[in-house]
Amino acid sequence: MEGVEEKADVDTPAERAESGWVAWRVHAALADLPDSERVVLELAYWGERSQSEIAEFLGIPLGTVKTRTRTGLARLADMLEDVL
Amino acid sequence: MTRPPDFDDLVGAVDDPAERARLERVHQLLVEAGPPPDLTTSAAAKTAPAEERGNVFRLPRRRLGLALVLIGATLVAAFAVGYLAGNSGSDSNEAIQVEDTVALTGSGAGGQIDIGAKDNDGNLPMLLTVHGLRKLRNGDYYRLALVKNGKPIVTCGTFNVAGKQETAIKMLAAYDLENFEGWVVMLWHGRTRDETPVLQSRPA
Repeated sequence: MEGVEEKADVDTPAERAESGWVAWRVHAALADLPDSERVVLELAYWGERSQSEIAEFLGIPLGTVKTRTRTGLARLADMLEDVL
Repeated sequence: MTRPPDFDDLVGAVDDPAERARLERVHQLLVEAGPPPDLTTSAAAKTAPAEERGNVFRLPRRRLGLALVLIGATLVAAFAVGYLAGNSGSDSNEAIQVEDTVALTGSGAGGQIDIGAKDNDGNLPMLLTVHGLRKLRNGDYYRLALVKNGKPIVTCGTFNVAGKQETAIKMLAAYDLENFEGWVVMLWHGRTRDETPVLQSRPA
């Protein structure tokens, strides 16, 4: 069934397209990160793991996880400057 | 729905307020964007520990449905070849004299556009080659568009693919490409009537 019932309080197609565009930009930027930073961010944001759990999971020091997280976020900020 | 991480736990103390605000905005974008389409929560959460050797550090990617897609792809690809041959007139077998090539990148997908010289009618022949795009359900399709001011403005053609293997589609553009910033392949969702970008060219 192709019909769509739009609710009044949901985003318009244009707004959804805009948010989809931004999400895609975020994912594309994430894919361009060095693997060591990308995997830490993926585990933190979508793996539901704490920093300590990530450190244990990857077998690296907690400080390294924190450094990579912050460096990765900063690198993403540089790549996404136009949408921040 | 995953539980977003606490920003302060992630970055700790940041002395520069401007830098902190910048990182927090990225944090919000990541939360709002959700996981990339080829990364499921369960995959991230259940992945066995990766060993940090060189650059071999990627999480496993989802391969659900690959076998079915490949089976279906064989049948639909045969149809697509026939369609292209029948739809492109007498020039269907003519190779494009490529004058420019634009690379397209996306998450788990990619492609390129080979652009030929303008024909006598003022049209630019193009060969769009994509790979890694999934087969869509009825009512959905991909759209190649030119980008201006960061938005997909004009459509150069629509297409479907039989599966993630390489697919080539001939198209024409009647536009002056110098007026645009780049290219994007959008996925049109027929059910919700909105679009998601899946491939884009690199900024010049």
